[in-house]
Amino acid sequence: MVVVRVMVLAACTFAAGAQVSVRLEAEIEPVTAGQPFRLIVTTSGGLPDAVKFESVPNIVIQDTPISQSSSTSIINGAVSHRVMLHFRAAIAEPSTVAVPAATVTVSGKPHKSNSLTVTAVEQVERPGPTLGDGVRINSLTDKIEAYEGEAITLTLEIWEMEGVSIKGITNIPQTVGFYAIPQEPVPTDVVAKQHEGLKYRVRQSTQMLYPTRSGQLRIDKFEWNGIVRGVTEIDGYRRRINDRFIRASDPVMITVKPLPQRPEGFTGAVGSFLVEGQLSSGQVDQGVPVKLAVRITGRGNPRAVSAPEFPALEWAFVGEPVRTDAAPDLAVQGRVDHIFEFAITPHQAGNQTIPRMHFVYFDPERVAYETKSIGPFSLTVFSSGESDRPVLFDGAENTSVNAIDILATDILPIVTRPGNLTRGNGLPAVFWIAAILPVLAYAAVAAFVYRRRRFENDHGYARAYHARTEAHRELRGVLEAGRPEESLHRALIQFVANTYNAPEAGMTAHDADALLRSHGCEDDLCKNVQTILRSCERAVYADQSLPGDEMKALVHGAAAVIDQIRAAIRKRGKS
Amino acid sequence: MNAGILYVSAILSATVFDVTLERANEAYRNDDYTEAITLYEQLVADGIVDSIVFYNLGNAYFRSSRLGPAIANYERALHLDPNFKNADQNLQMCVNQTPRSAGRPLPPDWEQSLLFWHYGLSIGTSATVAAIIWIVAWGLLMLRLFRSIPYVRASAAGAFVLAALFAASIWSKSHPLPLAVAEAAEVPVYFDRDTSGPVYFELLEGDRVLIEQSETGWLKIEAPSGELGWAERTGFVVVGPPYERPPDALDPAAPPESQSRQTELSL
Repeated sequence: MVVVRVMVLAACTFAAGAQVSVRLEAEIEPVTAGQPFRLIVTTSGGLPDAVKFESVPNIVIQDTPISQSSSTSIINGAVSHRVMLHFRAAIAEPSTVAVPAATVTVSGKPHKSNSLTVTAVEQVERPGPTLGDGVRINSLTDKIEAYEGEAITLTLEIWEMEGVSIKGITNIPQTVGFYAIPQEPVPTDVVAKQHEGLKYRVRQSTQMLYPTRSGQLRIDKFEWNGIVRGVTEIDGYRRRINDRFIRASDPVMITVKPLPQRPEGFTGAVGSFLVEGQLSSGQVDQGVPVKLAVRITGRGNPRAVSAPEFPALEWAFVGEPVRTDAAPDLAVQGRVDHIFEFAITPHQAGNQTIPRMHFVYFDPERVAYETKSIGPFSLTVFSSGESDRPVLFDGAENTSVNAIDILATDILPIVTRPGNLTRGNGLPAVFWIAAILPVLAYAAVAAFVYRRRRFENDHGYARAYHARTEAHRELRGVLEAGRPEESLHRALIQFVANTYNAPEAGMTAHDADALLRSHGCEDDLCKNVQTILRSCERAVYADQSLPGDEMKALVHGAAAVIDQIRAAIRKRGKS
Repeated sequence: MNAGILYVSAILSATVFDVTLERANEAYRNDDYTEAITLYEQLVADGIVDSIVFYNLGNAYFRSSRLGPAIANYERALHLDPNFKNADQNLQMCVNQTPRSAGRPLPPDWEQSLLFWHYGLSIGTSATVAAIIWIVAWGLLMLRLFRSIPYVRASAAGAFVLAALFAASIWSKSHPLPLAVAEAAEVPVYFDRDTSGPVYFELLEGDRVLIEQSETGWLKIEAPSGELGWAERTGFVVVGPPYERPPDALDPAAPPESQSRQTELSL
């Protein structure tokens, strides 16, 4: 707490010595006739003792403030303190009223604010606002006619009505033909505005646009797509309501005029600029570099401002300028503060002169090319005791000499080796095999293990899986068995019981038929099975042997019906 | 039969490439850099992708005082073999000779933070390690099918994460930064694809930039300082892949385009 107090005291003390400025503004614009609004008097650089308004017809301003607020900011080490006094005011009739400058007394001295024009509009009688009024959007530029490269400020506004909340996504307008800084608009301000008697909180985003070609350029529509949430009263109960809306602004057309005939030395800078130059030292030894800093400040496209052309010097080598952006954050406001440093390495002793340097730019306000000059600069070069031959090389110097210098540098030699040159550099096939093989191997092993475990744990599955094989094995031994009818009966019953995981003991032809039908077996197959089984049962119960041919036919029939049942089960399984 | 013919033709073409390489090296040793460049470029055009060929080609361009193509070829050699010390040293020497001695554009932030460890590895090393870890990971999973061993699943998960990291490394190395090297003494960069428009900034010989977009005759480039602009493609050597031949590779003595334009203007 103590620290905060000390900081505020320090800020005020510092501010007391600073220049006092007073600003007068209305809280909202336009205001509604007959409705009170606030006038805000902002004082920076000192604490206001008293505020006095001149009496003006049509507007009533209370003498005493209804509220007060203050803020302290530190920018680049500079402390600024502002005090805002809020005064209630009202305009009786719809009109435009000029409010004269307010007089603010700071430390006993009077200071004048700006004057102000306030427009009062008639209160609009309209039905209650709907959710659709909850959001509005706007896209506007500070100018619709500009020169190539001239700064245009694009402001995108999203209006949010008081009492609702909005949430949505925006489509930033396409700006083909413009160079934009930054790439997308950045939020800059939140202000209060009115529209048709409704109050809105307006979030503004801005972007600097620089036309890159002449003609008609278009800033596409700005779109918002989202949900508006509000509260309404239904049958005396407050209910939350929401709805989805899409809003789009009109596209903005900009007429871009071409630049007049470009003079010599013009590098593309458009705007208004100041140029300063400073030599790091007026005296230097031969062969020791000295730096010339050229500072360019002003308004324009920061990326289009390049170093002024350096005059040719016979007595020195001049390196490429190194650019430092002193205020990169201000680029979003179209402000430029570049410092270009030239390294000048004198190789001739004596009193030398760096001639005047010229920075040529186009000023769109004056519609003329302007030239700002710096220099000439005097430089005393002391002899180092060596000859006047070049002591340092630079890329801009005589190219033949430069080339010899480059060749004299000893790079490492070429590499030779026994040849095994082949085409291509893609990943070898073995890599892809190594990538795929483990997956396939895992899948195969997993399938094997899964199957083995199922055989171990799922008895029904194991019986059904082996039913056909076992049945066919049994059938192969039927004709050689002592009682072929009994063997055939057992083989077929065993197949049916295994296939449907039913108990085999005591199963008759009737039981097998019922089991098959209960599992949806086709009628023909059921009848075939029953026929074969009954033939066998009759022979067994009569204690008779069937003729050899008939027995063979029954065995073949049994083999066929087993295959058909299995095929039918598979078909049903697949379907 | 067909396989035999393919095998024999592969052997023969390998021999032809080796002979060309030897001829190029011989031309270089005899200070015939024009011939050396032609032969090395021929190998590259034939699909040979070899760090030594690019390195030797870079040396030949350097000896011909063409810093842009030299830097581009050293970059190619280092991309194929990041541990190629000679290429790294010659690249530094070459960059030091350029007017601005500007550094190489940095990879995206995610790559720098996630794959900080892979810059010294070649794509082959990354692929080998990835394949081994991949096989181990699946092997651990297979082991787990037969019996439950503590930490096997966690180990397999760790191996998969490692394999994914190395796979990302392979992907990153297969998709290197789209670099271009300014070849002309001065390469004007415009706000748009229009040479009559204002010049945004100028690149100097040897400056390396990122290619954001490529269109017929134009490149949208990003300077190391982050500035974006359009420049004519003729002023650059694209590092690749694909490995393009500089426009006037067969006539290295020809001055770059901007120098010719300056001469005309001064006349």
